[in-house]
Amino acid sequence: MTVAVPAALWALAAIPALIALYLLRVRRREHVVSSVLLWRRSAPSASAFRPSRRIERSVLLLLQIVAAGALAVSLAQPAVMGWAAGGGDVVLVLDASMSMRARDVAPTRFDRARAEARAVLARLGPGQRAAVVLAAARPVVLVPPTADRGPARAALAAAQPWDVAGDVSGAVALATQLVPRGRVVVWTDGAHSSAPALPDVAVHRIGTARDNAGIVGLRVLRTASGAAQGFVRVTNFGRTPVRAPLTVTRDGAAVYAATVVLAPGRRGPPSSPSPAPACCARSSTSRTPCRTTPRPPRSSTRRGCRPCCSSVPTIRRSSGCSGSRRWRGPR
Amino acid sequence: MGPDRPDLSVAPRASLAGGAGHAPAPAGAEPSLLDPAFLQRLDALSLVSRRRVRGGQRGERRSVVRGRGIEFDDYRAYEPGDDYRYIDWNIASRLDRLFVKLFSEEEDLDVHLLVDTSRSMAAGTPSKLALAKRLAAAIGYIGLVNLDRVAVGAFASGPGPRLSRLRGRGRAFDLLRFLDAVRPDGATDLGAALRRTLDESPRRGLLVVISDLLDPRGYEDGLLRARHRRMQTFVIHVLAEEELNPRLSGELRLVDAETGQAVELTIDADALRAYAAARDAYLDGLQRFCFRHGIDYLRTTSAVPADALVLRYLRQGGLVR
Repeated sequence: MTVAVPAALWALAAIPALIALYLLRVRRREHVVSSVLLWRRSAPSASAFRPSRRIERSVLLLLQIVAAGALAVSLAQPAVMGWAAGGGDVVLVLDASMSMRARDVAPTRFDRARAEARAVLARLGPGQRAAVVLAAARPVVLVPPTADRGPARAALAAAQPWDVAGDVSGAVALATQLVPRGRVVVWTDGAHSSAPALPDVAVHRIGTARDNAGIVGLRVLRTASGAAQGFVRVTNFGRTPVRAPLTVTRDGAAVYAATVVLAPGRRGPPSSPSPAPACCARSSTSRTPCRTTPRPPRSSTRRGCRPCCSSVPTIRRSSGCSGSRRWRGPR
Repeated sequence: MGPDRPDLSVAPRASLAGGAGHAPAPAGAEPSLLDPAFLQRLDALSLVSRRRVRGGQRGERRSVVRGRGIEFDDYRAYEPGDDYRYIDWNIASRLDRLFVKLFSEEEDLDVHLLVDTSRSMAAGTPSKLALAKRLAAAIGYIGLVNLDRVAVGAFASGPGPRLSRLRGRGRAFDLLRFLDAVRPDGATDLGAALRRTLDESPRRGLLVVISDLLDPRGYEDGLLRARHRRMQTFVIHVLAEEELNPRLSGELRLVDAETGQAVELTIDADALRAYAAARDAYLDGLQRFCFRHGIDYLRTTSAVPADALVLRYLRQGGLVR
């Protein structure tokens, strides 16, 4: 519950003034009686002497107070903020960018968004239809508008973030077309694109950290000599310089380790992610899976290659590489 | 005094002329305190005294003094010095002993009439004071006719005018003229009035108080003082209809006619109920007080005619017969 114009509530001060005016208005008739003896004796039980007695009896004053209060409250424009208030259809839009995998909120941003979407779904009224749209590289309608909650729940449970930037704007545009007069609820971290500010679109920002750096590309080439050569591309999308360790492992053994310094808004130094020749020499087979992990400075590496990214929350994780340069989905 | 005016007049010529034999003042055309038909009926009545009186003069009351009355009272043994005219010779011849007959003296009764003339007595239609004056005139007349000693006094906040030692039908005119001149004024102080009345008349007698008893100081002290002086006390409580059942409503500032005190209140059904409760408690307390102390009590409203009160209710109440 909120009010749009809180200053208008000062108009409520008119109510005490109204009561005071009513009390001050003298309108007693004088009446001579032979003795006030009995009237005085009846006083303690009568309570007719209290000035407030007049207020209790006055329907007119009551109406005036109600009118003044209603006027003041209506000037303040009260509103109720809540999900259940709107009776229309609802489209749940989940940002499926890779940055939604970050763990600055537990367990991940996407899981948090999923839980909140489930909560919104549970609060919907029986007649309200719900749709689920995933803002992936291209918007995907997971569930078209339906009053059945089962498919929506199942779709929410199965949805996973992608490894690329999501198109939130496109997803919102799609959602507004799905339900022209409904509401759109968007969960995004705003890492790549912000949702358009439309009247029926409610945007929920997920995530707290601003850092955004990660591996955006890995390429392994076979040289003419038969050895493999890998290229790792690291990008800092944040606004502050990032200094992060970069380790390339192959079958659990580090083949490359270095600390890269990334300027904001720029890609890493072109020469930096060039894998060491030793690495390349050992990776003679083309389909050798390898994992790269940027790690925070001075943090101990757990199991060598698990992403531990408390200071680098957004990871672009390429989980596997092949000579055909195909990015596979997450494990 | 406007409302009281029509009721005030001197007694009619016929009754006074016939009884007293001196020329009365012109009566005027206004209704009289006592009209002739009423007076005729009053002639047949007398005031009741529950105990034998000790009067000052010979009257028509059996006295505690035994002596030369007419009514036989008792015998006692002859002693030397007794008047031998009172020896009962029949007994002497039969018993051979001498007894003298005793007769009770018949003496007069002191009747004190106290009329409340405070400003509150002007209330009511007709006013309470008008009824009080007519009652006082009727009771006083009965007393005068029966050769009692009648004293009438008006009281309010202070000692009012007073007329005492009236005796005989001939003084009825003085009584009526006195009552005629009484005007409502001042506040009620029953205690002071009774104190003065009792101080001025040491003899026991009949005390009739006609008042509304709306005394802020209370009625108990004065009435108890009268009881302690062994006065046979009769209270005639005169109230106005508007005091018993006030027809008021709304935002009022009630002003006391006597003291000028004002009470601001909002009168609605609750307030009227509370007033009725206070009124009942007051009247009940008064009645119980009078019963406990042997005081005769009669309550009336000013709307009841005086002749009905005297001829019927005062008879039932035991004041007259």
